[in-house]
Amino acid sequence: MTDGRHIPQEDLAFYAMGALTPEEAAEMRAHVDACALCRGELAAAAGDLALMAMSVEQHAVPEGARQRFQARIAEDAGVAAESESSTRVPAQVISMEALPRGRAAWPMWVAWGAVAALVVLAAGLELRVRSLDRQLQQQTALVEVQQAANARAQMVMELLSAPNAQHVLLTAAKSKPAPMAKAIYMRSKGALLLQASNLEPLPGDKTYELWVIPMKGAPMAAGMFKPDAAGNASLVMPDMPIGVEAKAFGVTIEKAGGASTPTMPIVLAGAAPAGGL
Amino acid sequence: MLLQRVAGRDQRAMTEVFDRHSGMAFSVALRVLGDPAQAEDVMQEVFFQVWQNPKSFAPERGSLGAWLAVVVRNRCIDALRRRRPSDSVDDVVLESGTDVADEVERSTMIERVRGVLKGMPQEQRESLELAFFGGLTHAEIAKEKGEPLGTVKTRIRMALISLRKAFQR
Repeated sequence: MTDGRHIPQEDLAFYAMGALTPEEAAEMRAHVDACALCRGELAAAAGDLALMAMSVEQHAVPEGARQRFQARIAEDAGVAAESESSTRVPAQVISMEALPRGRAAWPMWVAWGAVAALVVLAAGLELRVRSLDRQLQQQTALVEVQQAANARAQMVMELLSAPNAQHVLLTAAKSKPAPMAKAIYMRSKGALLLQASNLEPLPGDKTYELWVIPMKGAPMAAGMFKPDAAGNASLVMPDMPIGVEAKAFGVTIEKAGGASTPTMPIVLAGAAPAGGL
Repeated sequence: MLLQRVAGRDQRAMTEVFDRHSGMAFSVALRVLGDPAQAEDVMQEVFFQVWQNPKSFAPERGSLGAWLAVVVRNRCIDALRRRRPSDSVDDVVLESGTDVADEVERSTMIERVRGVLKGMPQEQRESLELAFFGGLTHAEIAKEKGEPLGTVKTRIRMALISLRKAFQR
């Protein structure tokens, strides 16, 4: 294409028009980047083509195109678009004395009418500015509230996961602490955690078993566990199907190896709050 | 300069740029695409790019109007061929001597171009227009016209030489 020297003019024109194959264009670009003469010729060709483009029959832009463009840049700038009239008509100070008088002159009421219209327009803009200012303040306050909530949630998470935090259980004085357990369940992921404390020790042929009581259908076995010497036990991420909506959770005492249906009595039970995912 | 105000996020200045050049830009887009709605889309997009990055045009690249005409034309060809934008607006460089900012001079030059196009042999004009406004490659033009590739290239070269003579002042 380049004959080892410079690029022919028609090839430069095709390049300027983007009418070459990608391979040809790449070869051309490599030469142009390195050759000032051809770079200049290319710019000249592009200039010729620009005038050719501008020689097309002229058409008016579609109705509303200007307003659409103004709205777009206003949105981009984050500022309300200026009104059509304010940009179309440049602000001018017109002396009343300079106005022509006589039969051809504008009546005075037209001028005062225009003044009144401007006053109304200015008042409208002022109200708009105040309204936007109020909205901005409300949004700012909302953001601050959300930031505070996020910071608090973050602190809670850090506290729960901190390995060196002190965990203290408070109970009524001089009373035997009651067995209790806490389940954390997310049905959308089939994820389940259980932490139990103050559990009674069980003989070797018995086990505690957790049950998920679904909204519909029979209780589902979710896993077995035994307490340690202090009465604490946990069940972490047992194998659970995804999407089971839980109505309640219960713990029973079963034979070692578990059961297919819960055996009464239920030693621990708790209803699942509504709205979980 | 107007674009310096645009760089300062002056919407009024950008609207002035739009008012000054949108007619020409839209006309170029309409000539290539033939569809007013699509032509406006391309035109709006190019002006919006100028708004977002006014420094993409440098005065040494020719006049703003000529530069916009080429950028719009290139974007339209991309749309016509359903391809991604082939170049950044930064890639369009015009000869600085092609200063057609002045309205009178521009009108004179455009009339001269129209005269040259009208006066050149039909085959030359058609080949040049198929390349420039149709976005066809030289191979595609040769196929469409049923003529050898070399013939098409020669015709376009002759057409460009005629145009260049018209621009020499």
